[in-house]
Amino acid sequence: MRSKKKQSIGQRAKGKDNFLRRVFFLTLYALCTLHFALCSDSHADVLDRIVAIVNKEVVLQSEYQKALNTARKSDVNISEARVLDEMINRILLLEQAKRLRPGNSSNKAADDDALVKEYIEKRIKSSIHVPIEEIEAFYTNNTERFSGKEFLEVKDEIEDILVVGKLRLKLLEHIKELRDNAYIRVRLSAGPDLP
Amino acid sequence: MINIYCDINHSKWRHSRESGNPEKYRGKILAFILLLTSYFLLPIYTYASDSDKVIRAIEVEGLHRIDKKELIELIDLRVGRIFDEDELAIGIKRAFRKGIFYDIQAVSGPYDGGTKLKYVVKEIPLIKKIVMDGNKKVSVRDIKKVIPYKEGDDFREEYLNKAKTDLLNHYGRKGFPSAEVTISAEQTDKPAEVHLNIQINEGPPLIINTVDIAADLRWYFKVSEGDIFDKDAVDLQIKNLKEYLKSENYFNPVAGPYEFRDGVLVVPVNKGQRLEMSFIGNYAVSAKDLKKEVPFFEDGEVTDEAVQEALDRMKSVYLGEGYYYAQVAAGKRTEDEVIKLDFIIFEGKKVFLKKIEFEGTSISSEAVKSIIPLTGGKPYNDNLLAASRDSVLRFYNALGYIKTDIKEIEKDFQEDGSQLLLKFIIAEGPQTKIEGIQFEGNRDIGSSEIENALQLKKGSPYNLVDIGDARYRIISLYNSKGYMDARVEVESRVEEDKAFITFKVTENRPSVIGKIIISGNRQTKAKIIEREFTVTEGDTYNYEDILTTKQRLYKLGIFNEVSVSVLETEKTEDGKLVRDMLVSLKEGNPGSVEISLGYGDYERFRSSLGINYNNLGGYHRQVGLKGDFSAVKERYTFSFKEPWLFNQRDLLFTALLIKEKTRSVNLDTRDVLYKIDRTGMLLGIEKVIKKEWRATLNYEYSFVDTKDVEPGVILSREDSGTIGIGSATPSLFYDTRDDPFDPTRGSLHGIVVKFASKALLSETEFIKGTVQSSWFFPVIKRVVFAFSLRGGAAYSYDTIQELPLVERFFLGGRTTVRGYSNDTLGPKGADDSPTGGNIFALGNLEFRIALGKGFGLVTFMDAGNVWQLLQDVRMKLKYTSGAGLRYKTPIGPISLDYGHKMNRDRGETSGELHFSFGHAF
Repeated sequence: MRSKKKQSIGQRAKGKDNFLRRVFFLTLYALCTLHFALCSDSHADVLDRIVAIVNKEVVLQSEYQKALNTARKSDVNISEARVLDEMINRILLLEQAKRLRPGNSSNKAADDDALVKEYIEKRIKSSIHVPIEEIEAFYTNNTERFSGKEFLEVKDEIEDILVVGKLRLKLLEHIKELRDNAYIRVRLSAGPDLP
Repeated sequence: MINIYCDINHSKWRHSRESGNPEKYRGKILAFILLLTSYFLLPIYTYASDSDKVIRAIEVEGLHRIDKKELIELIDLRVGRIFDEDELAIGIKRAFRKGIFYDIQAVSGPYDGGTKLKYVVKEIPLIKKIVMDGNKKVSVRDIKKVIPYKEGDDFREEYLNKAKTDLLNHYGRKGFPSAEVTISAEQTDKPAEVHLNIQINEGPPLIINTVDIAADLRWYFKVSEGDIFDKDAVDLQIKNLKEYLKSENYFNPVAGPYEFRDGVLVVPVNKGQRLEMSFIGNYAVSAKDLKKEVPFFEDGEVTDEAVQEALDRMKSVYLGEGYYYAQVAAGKRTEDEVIKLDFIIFEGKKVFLKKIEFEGTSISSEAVKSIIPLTGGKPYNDNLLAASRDSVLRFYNALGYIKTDIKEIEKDFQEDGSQLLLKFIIAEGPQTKIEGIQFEGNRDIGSSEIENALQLKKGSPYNLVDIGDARYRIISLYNSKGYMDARVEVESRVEEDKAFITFKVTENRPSVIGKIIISGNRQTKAKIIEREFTVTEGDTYNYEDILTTKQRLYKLGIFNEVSVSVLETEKTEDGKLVRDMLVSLKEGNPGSVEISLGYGDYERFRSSLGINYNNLGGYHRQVGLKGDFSAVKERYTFSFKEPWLFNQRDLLFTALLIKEKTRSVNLDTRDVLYKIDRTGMLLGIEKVIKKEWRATLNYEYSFVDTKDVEPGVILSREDSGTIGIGSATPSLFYDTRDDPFDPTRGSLHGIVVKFASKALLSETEFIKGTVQSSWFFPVIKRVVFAFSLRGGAAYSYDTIQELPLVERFFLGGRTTVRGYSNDTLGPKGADDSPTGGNIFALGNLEFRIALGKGFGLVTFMDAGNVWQLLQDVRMKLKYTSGAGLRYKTPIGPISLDYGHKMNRDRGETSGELHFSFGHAF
């Protein structure tokens, strides 16, 4: 019994040794992998890069990522391409706005937004005219929406609705024109080398 | 990791308890694992800490177009500083402004206890060459005009489709609808450089077999059967055809749109109605001139409105000529396809403006008259009356009479209505003067400093133009001190005849220069551009400095365009906005060919041909090869210039290799007096000291072969045969002339000393000095008085006192003593040939009178002579006087002078005529 017990203790000890050896080599392997993953140049972190060139401006990956994160807070399904497209459109509009208002020295995003808004108001919205016939037609076709209110009561409201619709169309048209005449290069991932 | 550690300890504990194996063995393993863990975990721990953000190294990969240092400077993350991702983003954007990158990627990794940054860039390649193949009917030049690529430009792959479409469209227009085009870029053996290959298969052209057009117009439509159907050519012919029909009085011809099908070109033409105009009663203005006033051919119709417009314009023409009473009427009728317009004109008398008077003015009438476009004594132009009225009002307003009114302009016709007395009846009103000037909002610049810059004082007439200028001066003052966003508003308050002005200043924050980004320099090295900058990082923005920098860059002659823009604010330091400055450049062609032709009485026809390249290796070094040819000279020069020797501003180094054959001839007989063949080199430095001072030091070595010398000319043994002359020539000049080619004021003074010595490898030894002092004074308008004194002396150390022929002084000719022909003054040899001498003195005096339209007149007096040796100086001076004509050109005036000898010797001619370029001095 004793010898059996001794043998069993010896076997168990040997088994423990093997276990320790396995732990040792596994640990060594894990540490090596971690070390090379963190220290090796071949796996260096990309800190930033250019993802889009829009005439003389660029969109950086950091900016794009920030915009994507913000956009996905309100719409989780928004595509990467759409976010980048919106950034490009904003650059094009801002470029036009600055051309009309040179001397704006700030680079604060809030100021830029105000400038773009002002540009849209003055350059695009101001040219929109809604004829009275169109307002009347809208009123006639949507009487239930205005729950028996007189035309004159809702005229301004209808005009605003129609202006917003027209503005959207005009803005899209304007952006298309700007994009057609712009130099735009997009590389969301690092693209192939040039010939 | 902690779990692993606990587990190991736990096993060890159990193992030691259960197995009873020596602790030593397990301890070793444990210790080893611990050590290993520490070794591997240490960098991980370190990387997670703050210290890992310290930048330990920066590498750059993929950069070929600029220096690595320039990119690192632009991104502006430095070794030793803590990495900041916002700064990196700003840096990448800044570097992108260079305009040579598609992508700048920043990657990092742990390095030496910190971070190593690597910038991996993808550059925009340059197009080295555009190679075309397969184009037979469309020229290379045409294709290059069509595609959006040029040799030497950036290759942007995004334009490839556009290039292909544009080229196919062009081929379509040129009659090759089935053309095929392939455009591809091929990397050259240099990085960031491509060849653009354009493969063209033109395909069969469309051929015009028949031209279907009205028979009477076929002659004027220059497209033939058998031609390729070139739409551009057809469009041009249709345009020409319309012009022809209009010249035949068809005022609205319609040609086209044409059709081309199965080889048949159909061009429909509708001539439309014809217009016949007749003019009756016009004597002072021709029918041709009156026809120019009709708008029918531009409008394409003859409406009643257009007829009225024609009448108004014609009347205006008559008024302009002084026909105040002129009346024009028109009669219109239509017969078949012809519209007939008869213009009936009553010209009346021509009216002259006898006198212009002003009533009610306290200002001199002459002063008011000088500012109105109407002029007394000339035909009266009624068209100018309104403009005259406005001019008077503006004039009064400028003097502070802001309430001035012109009550009436009386027209008093005299002498049967042919003379007009024009009287402006003016109510001047009070003169408003500035009583007070105030400044508000200025904190950093004191009111007294602004007041000094203002040029507007209390008591000055109140005038909006002056006030506007003053406002601009305040803005300029602020701009010069870096306040680029300063705004100034003006508030004026007028009380009776007193005005109170307040300039409301919004200073905003001053700006300093951040990084200076240079873009567009494809060949020129950045340091060549940077050394011309008068501003540097951290300087306050100042428009004048920026302008100076621009001027210096233009002056290099390398750039066609230089623009400086201030970029948006990136950061603020010490309350100042730090803004990057972008210097955008467009390089011109560094190579040039120079050809000139001319004529001079001595040289006869002369010409020169030069090839220069002024940006060798991108270092603004200049090389050139030039040949000058005339009847008396043949000269080849190879030159090299380094404008910044030892990187020193305005220290010019010049190296010349010269091969020259000169003949000295007798101007009258054209007999050769001697010939000199010279092969030499010159190394020189020139330093501009301040603006007016210039010093040079040259070393020259020449082999001079003097041959075919008239015996009488020979004075020394070196006057014939070959001699090597090595010399050093220091010189100093002081030049304040306003224009070196045609000065009107200022002066030029210089001293040049030439040493030839055996120490300088010379076979002969001498010292030779010349001095010059020239002055230019504007006497009255268009008249300049100029005088010059020049002199020189030489001394030979050799056994013979006379210098070699090539080094001796000669006088006479178009730039010295103009009564004598070239080099004929001074001592003569046995055969009466001029020998030249060791000493000369020369004085010139001129009145230069500008006659207008580039022509000028000159009267002059010259005095001078050459003496063989110092002891001969007692010989008298030779005087000449004369006159000449000048015609201005960009490289100085063309001159024709006649000089008359005032104390001529027996046998000498009375004077000489000289034709050449440039002034005498």
